[in-house]
Amino acid sequence: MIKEVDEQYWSNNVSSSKKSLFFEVDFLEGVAESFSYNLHYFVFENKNKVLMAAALYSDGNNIVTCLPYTYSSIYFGDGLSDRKYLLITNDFIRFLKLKWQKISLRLPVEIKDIRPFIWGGFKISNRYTYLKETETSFPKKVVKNAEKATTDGMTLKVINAEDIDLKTCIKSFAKQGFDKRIVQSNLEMLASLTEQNQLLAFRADTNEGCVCTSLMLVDAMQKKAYALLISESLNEFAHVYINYERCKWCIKNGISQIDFCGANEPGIANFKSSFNGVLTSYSIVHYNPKYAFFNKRIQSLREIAKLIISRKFVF
Amino acid sequence: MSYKYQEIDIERWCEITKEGEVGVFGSKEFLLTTAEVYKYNFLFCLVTYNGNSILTVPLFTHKSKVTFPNHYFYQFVWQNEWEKESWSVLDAWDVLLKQLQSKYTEIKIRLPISVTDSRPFIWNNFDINIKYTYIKTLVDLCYHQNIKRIVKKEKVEYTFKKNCDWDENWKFHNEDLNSFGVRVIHKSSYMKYFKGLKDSGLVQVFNAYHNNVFLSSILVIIDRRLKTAYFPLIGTADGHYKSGLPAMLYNYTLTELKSEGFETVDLVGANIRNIAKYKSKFLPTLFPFFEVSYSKRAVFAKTKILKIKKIIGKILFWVK
Repeated sequence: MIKEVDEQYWSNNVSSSKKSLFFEVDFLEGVAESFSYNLHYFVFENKNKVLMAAALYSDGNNIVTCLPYTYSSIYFGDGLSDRKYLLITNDFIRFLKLKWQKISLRLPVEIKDIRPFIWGGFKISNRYTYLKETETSFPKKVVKNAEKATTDGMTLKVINAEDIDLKTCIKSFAKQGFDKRIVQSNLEMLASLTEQNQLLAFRADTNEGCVCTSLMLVDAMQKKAYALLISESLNEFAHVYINYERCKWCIKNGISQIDFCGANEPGIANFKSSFNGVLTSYSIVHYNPKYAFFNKRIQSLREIAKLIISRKFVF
Repeated sequence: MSYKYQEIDIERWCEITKEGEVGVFGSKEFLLTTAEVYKYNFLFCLVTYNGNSILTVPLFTHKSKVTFPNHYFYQFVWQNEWEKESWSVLDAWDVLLKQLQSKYTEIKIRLPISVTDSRPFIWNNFDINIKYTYIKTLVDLCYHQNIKRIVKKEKVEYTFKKNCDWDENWKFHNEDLNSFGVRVIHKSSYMKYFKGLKDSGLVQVFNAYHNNVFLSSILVIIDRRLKTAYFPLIGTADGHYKSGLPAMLYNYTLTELKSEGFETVDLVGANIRNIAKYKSKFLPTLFPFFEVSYSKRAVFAKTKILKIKKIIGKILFWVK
């Protein structure tokens, strides 16, 4: 059965086994503090083995997602059968619905079966991202453009994110869908991630100075990196150069996969597709009891109408 | 040079796709039968780039709508092998969808599981409905232990035969659909559809009997070219669940199909909780697919609502 546990329990039973940044108490608390959200830990255990764990944020009566570019901290144990997965997820959804009103989750790419959420009256948004294994090659055109940038004198600096002006970055990132109303919270969150040495900044410089900056979240335990945001640039090769060199940096530093964090805007997705990543889908699920109630009633009415019509013809 | 949209006839369509592996839902017999039963027109769309065929889709139209016949169907989509992974396929879809939107007020497409990227539809204001189906590979007929136990039962009360007693089958499935609450108008189309497919040699039936009395059956759409079978109608077996008839009928059908050289079976749907739970006991693999729909009126209304919401949001932001 699903139960809510405290930080200590989570730390001893989940963080210790699921070695990932997104399940680390420091990371989770840092994010929660930045947005002034409450943090909740849930586990589903069987014979003292954790089969499912989730760390979610709440704001008042609602479960919310606060990282616009990464996923909710939810994981299912390896080797779960279809039936077990459905049982656990149904239990989890029921538990959340009992305690909270609106529920919003950005499911990790590993969760491919979202039927429990559909059955639970959630609204589903299908999203995509590109995952690139760092060891895989780049298309010739990318290599050529990156080399051209190098020849022209472009250099890459990997710096701690506190050394760049996050405020200016965020202003630039706002054009990419960053919610301006929560700039301050995002700034605090990025600062908190920087403090924990999880956030790196990649800066492309030419003779004229900095031409482009990009932020990357590093989950060293999972050997994964998340290409969060990249600023606009007037230099035509800057974006290609940063992505190419960043991948080389990842290989040197033992990172095996880069998540490009979104492939949902045509222009941006087209650019990201040029790095030979694998298109992978994930889902954002929303539950609003009012909509769910309304939809259920509509469905019932449809069923009744269907029955009436079919009986009318039968008899 | 750029992308070009064309509407072609059935002969040209067969010509373009003849070298590829055309599944049953793209076969000439299937298309002709379906169009005749549902009184649909054909719309064979082709998108080329620099003269090369990138994408072609045989759609059904009815009045001002692009539609699909029923839920026992996947849209056949042909994509150039070389372009499958490239951005040009997305561009080709974009060209095709824009053309359809300019001509039709409603568009509904039930995409096959091979189309995993729904972004062109999202970007063209389609609603995306994620559906699931189970695919069972016949290489190794392994089942959940409950099913294994039933199948191994020595006391055999039932007999099984295939491709016979068609009249009893039609009557049985007709009543079965009735008990599911399927509307008479749809039911009659389904029956005509399956009868038409049977006449075209695209349907087989696997029956179960008790003391030589017909009990239930599984109706199967067969795709010999892709070595795949589809289970659109799986008959109920009232009063025989406890003795394990449904499991035995599944096992009989899967074993027979395997012996005929089929490699995979699509159990057609995993979206109704109880039915999905039962199907999962045959240890199939779950696959998602998309049902996409577009309505000109709905999009118009949505756009207006979004604009109003944005204005209200801005006002509230400035007031705060």
